[in-house]
Amino acid sequence: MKYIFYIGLFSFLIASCKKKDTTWNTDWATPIISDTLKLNNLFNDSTLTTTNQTTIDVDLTRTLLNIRLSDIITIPVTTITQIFSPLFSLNNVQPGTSFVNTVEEHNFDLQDVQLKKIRTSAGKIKVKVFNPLNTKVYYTVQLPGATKNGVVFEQTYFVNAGTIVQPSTAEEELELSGYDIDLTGESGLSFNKLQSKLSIKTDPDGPIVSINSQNDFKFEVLFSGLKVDYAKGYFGNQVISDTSLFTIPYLTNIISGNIDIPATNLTFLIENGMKVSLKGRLTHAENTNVENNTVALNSTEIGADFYVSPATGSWASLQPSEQSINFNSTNSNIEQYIENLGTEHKVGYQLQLNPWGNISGGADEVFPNSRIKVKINVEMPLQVGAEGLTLRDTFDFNLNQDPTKIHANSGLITVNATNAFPVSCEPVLYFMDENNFVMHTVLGSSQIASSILGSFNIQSGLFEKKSSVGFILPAPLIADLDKIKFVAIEARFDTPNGTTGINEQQSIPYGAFLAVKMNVKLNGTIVY
Amino acid sequence: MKKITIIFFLLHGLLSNAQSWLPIQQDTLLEKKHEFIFSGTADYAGTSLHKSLTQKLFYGGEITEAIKDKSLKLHRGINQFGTDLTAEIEYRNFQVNLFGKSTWGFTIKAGYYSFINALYSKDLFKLAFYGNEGFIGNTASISGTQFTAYGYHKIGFGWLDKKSKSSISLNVYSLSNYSDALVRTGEIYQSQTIDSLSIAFDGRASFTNGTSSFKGFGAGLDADIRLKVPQKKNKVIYYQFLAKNIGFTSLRESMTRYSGDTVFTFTGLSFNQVLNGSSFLDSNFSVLDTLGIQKSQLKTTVFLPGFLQFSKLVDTQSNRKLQEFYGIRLFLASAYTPLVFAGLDYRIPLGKINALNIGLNISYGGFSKFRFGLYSSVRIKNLNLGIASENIIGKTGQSILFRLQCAY
Repeated sequence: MKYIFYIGLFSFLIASCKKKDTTWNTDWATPIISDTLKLNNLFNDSTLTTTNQTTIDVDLTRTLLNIRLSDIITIPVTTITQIFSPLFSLNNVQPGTSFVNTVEEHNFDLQDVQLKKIRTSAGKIKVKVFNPLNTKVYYTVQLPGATKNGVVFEQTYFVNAGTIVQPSTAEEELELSGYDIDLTGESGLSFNKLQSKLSIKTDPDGPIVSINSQNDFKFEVLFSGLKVDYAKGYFGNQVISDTSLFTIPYLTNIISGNIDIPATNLTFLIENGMKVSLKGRLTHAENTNVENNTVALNSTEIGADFYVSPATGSWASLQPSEQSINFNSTNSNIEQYIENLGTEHKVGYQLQLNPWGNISGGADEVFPNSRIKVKINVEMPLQVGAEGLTLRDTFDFNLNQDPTKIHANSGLITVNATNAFPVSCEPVLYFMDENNFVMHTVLGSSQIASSILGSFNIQSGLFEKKSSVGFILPAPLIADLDKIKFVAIEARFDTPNGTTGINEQQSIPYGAFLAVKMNVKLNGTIVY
Repeated sequence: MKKITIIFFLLHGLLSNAQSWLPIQQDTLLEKKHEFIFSGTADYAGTSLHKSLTQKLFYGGEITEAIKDKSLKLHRGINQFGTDLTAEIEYRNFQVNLFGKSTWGFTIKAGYYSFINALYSKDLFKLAFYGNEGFIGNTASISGTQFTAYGYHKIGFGWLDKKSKSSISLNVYSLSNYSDALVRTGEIYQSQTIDSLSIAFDGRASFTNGTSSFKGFGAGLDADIRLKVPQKKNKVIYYQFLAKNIGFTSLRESMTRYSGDTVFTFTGLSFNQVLNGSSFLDSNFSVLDTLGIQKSQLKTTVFLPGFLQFSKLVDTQSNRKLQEFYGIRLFLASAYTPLVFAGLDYRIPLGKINALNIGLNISYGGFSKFRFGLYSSVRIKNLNLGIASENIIGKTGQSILFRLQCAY
């Protein structure tokens, strides 16, 4: 009994020393977001244009293909070797005696491409010389057709004495950018031919030596990583074909509803910046929306050949030739194609160089600024009709709170908006767990009303409508904060007529904006 | 069993109200060879914090709206609050002749002290206990806020005059915790439509880090000077000048200081900031950098909140049963105003040596305004036990003091 009392006494004393948590409730308010969404930001890339400062036109251009010289001509890694072997023996060769080898030609393997002249923009040349003579020898390696600023490529090496069995060597690697290389050979009428020349001279301060036919004076030149930014010749008639894939990611957020757009022009523009004839063909175009509906662009222009003339001029005066293929409501199903709101687009094309062969006599020319481009262009007035067009986007959410520490109990998010777009919006918030299961749904207390329902602001020159939307964050939602891993914001858009309320196409006015000021009020408990 | 039960209830009473005690300023010294004094105090007081709220802060529990409202009604522009928690033990040796002098003895003492000193505005109280929602459309001012908190240990050795009971001791201190805050200018403006929040701040806050009990070492002194003033008809009056913990500590480890002189206006984030993760929603976002608050480390000297008191003592040898006492007290702390006190002591003899003293007092100043106190002490042979409160009816504080002397 006595021990139980002591244990009880001890426990009571310990318990008496322990302080309970002190708690009290507080109410906090703070702004969160203050910003204005304007279309002006998109004017920079010429996506949106205006001609009358009142209405907006969409002028969307995207480049699907951009080919330069290096994409069609590749100089392979090439090694050339030149050997000078005396035809007979020479005794008592005096110091400082020179021997000059004849010019030799070497082929670049370019298949059906026949180049007469190139200019290198990058690349390396590795020169290696071999000396089998028992005295030092000066080697001069020359590439007669390769010049830079008018000076022929020439390198001289002083190589130590060697033997026939084990010749001594000298080696050097040099940059080969900026060289003009004539590939017409010694005759000036050939192609893909590189010339080389070797000169040797025995050491003027060396001994008298003997040279025989077994002495091979040799050099090797390795060309690697050669890139050219100018070429002249015949570029062959290779075919370039591919299917371009591009996505419009934000359209994946559309989960329901319809959109209505006005008559639209879609143009494929082919630019030829090379002095070579082109034949091309759009093989197909289709898009697939988030509901997996695919619409193909149907037109007689699809699958039909078109031809593009060579560019004119040269260097700075180069003028690309252009060919455009237009799709409109009369020659295609373009509106249906665009209203499908495709997120994934496929455009197939085929291009062939020199479709009629070498009719230029090897006068094809490509300059550093030469490009072959395929662009797509869409032009239409920015006029949209939305009928329950619903977008949903999901964000990661990670906000834990410990109820035994300072924590929130409930809250109210208020969005004060000034809308100058003729579009109304009904927002909903979904709070989901890690399995994307919706745990809580919070409806906005009202919609962000269309500017059509507002009044005219003389200063901005726009109709504007103010709205205040509240999102109540109830205690059960706040209690589940640590379980919530995703928040989805869903917005349903409509373009109602101000009088009838029926959704119809509305023209987005120039300067339209949506000003948003968001604040939050939180009731929290301080735990100390 | 009966003794255990008494101790049980006594300890329960102590532990459920406070953790330590302070000495009653009554001197009932016994002329013996050895003397032990155990003393402690738990005293908190303020001008405006209702004790119903303070008790919740100290002992836990929910601070309801009603409790907060009680305190809010008491608040004025600038308010004071302070706590003084002390536990001390002292040994006095009257037998040894220190340095060969027959009238000199020595004293050894040790103790732990915790002291909080705060000056704050009414708006700071509202912000802390109600939040900022009540300031929508208004400015909350926390300018002039000062806060200092100390926790330190002491060991002292000193000289004792056997005849007058005066003593002076040199002490060494170990600082276990220190923090301070000073807001020279602090204003928070919340617009009516909650679309902007402006903060003007010029101030600093510092605190020691870690769990070590030896964050700083220092030195100081205590002095207990008894003055015997002769009166007419061979009567005397005893006065006491008491100084405790007049000293300093120097930090061994750097403490962290946040300081800033900035004006910051927050009108909300842009969509780009939210989407690009450059806002406070992003883990890499530094709120302090945004507010212009600098963080630094510094070692400094901390002056202790010394205690000074001059008072008339109650003479236990007097023939008068009813005696007056009075005095003035000061802590070296910004929120503590000089405290004057006066009271009456009535002695009830319990035999030749034993006696029971009861008394009441009134004081003004310190961390609060008027306070009424009550005490009693009983002397039984070699023991003297005193228990008191310096604030028995106040709304804004509580006080309990305990002193046990044993002489033989």
